[in-house]
Amino acid sequence: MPKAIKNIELTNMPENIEGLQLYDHVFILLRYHGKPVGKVILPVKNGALRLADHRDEIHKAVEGPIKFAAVDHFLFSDLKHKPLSEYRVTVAICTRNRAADLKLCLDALMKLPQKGQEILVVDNDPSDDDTKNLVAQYCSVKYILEKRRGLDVARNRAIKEAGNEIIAFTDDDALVDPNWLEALLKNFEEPLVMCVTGMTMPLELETKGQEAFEHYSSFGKGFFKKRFSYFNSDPLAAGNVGAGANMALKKKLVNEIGWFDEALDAGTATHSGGDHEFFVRILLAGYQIVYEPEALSWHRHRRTWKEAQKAIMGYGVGVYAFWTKLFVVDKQYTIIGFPKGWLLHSQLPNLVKSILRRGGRYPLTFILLELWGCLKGPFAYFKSRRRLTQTLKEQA
Amino acid sequence: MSCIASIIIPTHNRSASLKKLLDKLHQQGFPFQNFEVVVVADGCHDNTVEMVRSFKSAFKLSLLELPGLGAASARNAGAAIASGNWFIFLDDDMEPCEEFIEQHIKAHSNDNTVVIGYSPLRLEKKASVQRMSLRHWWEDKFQEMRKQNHRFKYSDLTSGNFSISANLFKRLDGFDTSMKCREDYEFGFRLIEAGSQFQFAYKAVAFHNDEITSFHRSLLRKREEGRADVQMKNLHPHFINKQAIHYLNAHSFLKTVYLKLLWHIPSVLDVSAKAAEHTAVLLQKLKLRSSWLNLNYRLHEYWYLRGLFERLNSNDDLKEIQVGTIAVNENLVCIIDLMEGLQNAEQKIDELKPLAVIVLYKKELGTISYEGGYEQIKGIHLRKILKEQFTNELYSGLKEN
Repeated sequence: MPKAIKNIELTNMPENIEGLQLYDHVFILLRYHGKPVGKVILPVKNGALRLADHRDEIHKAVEGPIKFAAVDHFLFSDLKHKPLSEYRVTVAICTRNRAADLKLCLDALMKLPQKGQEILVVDNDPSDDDTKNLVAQYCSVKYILEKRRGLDVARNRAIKEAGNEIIAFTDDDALVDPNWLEALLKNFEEPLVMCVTGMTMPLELETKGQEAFEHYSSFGKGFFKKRFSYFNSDPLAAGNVGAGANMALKKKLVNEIGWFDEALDAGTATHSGGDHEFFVRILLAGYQIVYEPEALSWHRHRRTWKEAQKAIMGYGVGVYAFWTKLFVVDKQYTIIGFPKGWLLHSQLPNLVKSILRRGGRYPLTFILLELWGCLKGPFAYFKSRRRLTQTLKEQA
Repeated sequence: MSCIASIIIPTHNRSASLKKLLDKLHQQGFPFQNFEVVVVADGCHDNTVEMVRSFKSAFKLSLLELPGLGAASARNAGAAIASGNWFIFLDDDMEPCEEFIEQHIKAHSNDNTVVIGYSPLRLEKKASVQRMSLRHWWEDKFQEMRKQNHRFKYSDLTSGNFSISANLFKRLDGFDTSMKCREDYEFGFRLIEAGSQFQFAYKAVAFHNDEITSFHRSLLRKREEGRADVQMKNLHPHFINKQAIHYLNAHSFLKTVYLKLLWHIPSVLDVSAKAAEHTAVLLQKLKLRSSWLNLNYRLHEYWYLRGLFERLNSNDDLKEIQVGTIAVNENLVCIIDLMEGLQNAEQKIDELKPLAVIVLYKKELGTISYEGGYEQIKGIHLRKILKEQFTNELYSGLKEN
């Protein structure tokens, strides 16, 4: 039961969407004068979607965010926004053996307005030359080979190589919206804002695996812009802040809070968590992170069921791995409440719902794999740390 | 002989940081013959006086000694012997950038402007949460002023980094020396009421190396602020004390009892407040964030109210300090209808110069009311105020379209 993905502009809504013979539902991103304000999933009838039949659902989906979007439009649309400061930016993509995906990613980046941005591809421990050859076709893209495996290793390398003050990260399997970079950048005007995260939507929902993954762990953090700081939200709850697949940060941040922890994230035993652990350190140092839904990127979830399962277990491992670090290394003892909260308010209810086969349930295997991942997390962290120390020793 | 700018620095036993500041003034791009520096050593018993006397400067450097009269008196005394056309006030824990003087002078368009510089708080590595919250507070204030549509108010005047023409300073008799705290807000209030134009100069940077504002000092200061705000109200009946109104909001039964207790037997809770202070320090060490934030807020509230109540004599005074709106003459109120376009509304405000504005859009949205110590409302302020104050009302009007 694949879903089509569509964008609808509310101020210029078509009557019908045709040509949906292959789909039974449509996932729609709703925009108001280009600004994302909501999403809705609507059923296809006879290969088409009659939007007029779903007015109420659409209205409900944008309630809240549209209020601010409409008032902002009314008040400010005739004014030209004069940026208080101009930034130059480096866009970095960390990739490993995914040349076909990377091509789409780079093509989307080429469509961004040219403001002198630098584009870096960090090729992480590749098994062939495909990525290198692909990048060679783009004269404006810089290729960097990082032999040491690990997403956080690659991120750190990108920061070291970046020629500009701000570095924006996108994943190799994501396509950015034309307004993406501008939307991220406009939030850096205030000196305490050190990091901005964007909103991620699914690029395609063609397979069972992609649909289940989107349903289970949607990257979307909502349509309200948010500002996170130590003083308005718990800095340890970094999952709410966003994800490394769509974020930008100031280079000088690493002088203040250190580098991405190379014992964490993809390519190590911990599978994920490197971005969230970094967000926690930003907030603990008293800096701010802005979540900007206008900085939109479209993520192509893994297509097979097996890959979706792997990603979900990896998520469980990563979360517990970085929590372990917070507890043991950073002595943030209140982190103890988080596993309990997650288990009691989310994991267990979902498990029960799944076993009782209630509506809106998640696949049982996902839940069990996530739990299994959680159990492995703390061990994975120590294992990964030991390996990292060893590698660094061998190199030295 | 008069020069262009006089840098006036009141100081109190901080010889080392003052030395650093004087060194920084030596690195100014501004010609040395065009500015002078006046140091007012107020109640100094370290080596400040000797340090300044032996300091070899390429600019004119004068020293004044006072027996410890407080910052307001020290600034006035410095201004009295300063010869520049412009006075730039700097605190002794500031580190100005190279273009500091130039940026201040450049920002003045006439005799009637007050220029506030940008003073980012510099934090040491591994700063405490308390210090981080201080930086947060300062930065919010500066970033707000940086916006082009910011409506300035009395509390925007930060005495550690601002400049003013000698004429304006003298015309208003400088700082009120009866204020022992918030003398800057009080001066800001008079400046605004006198119609002077505030401006923010983001490039007039002086790093603020305040290393002494600890948790305990912050609480002591809060009590002083409570006292000073009563003084403010006595001096300026149009001052709306939003902080007191906020803290005195008896939203629950417990809060009502607490306020009654504090009002009738003020010192009875001091012992628990002391204990709470120790607890807060412990909570911070244990990194128990939300408990610390909560207790921190309560303690600041407590000491503010303690200070406030000390200076209030009667129930009437207490009522008076909570007055949230001030009636203005009907002739000074204007009505704007947003249906006629935002630009028209902005123009109307600029032409009529009202004290208060009634806003219509299909129906009455509400009133932008008068507040003492707030800059005369201008057209450019309108959109931001509408967004902050009337988003819901405006949206219900827009929805009908």
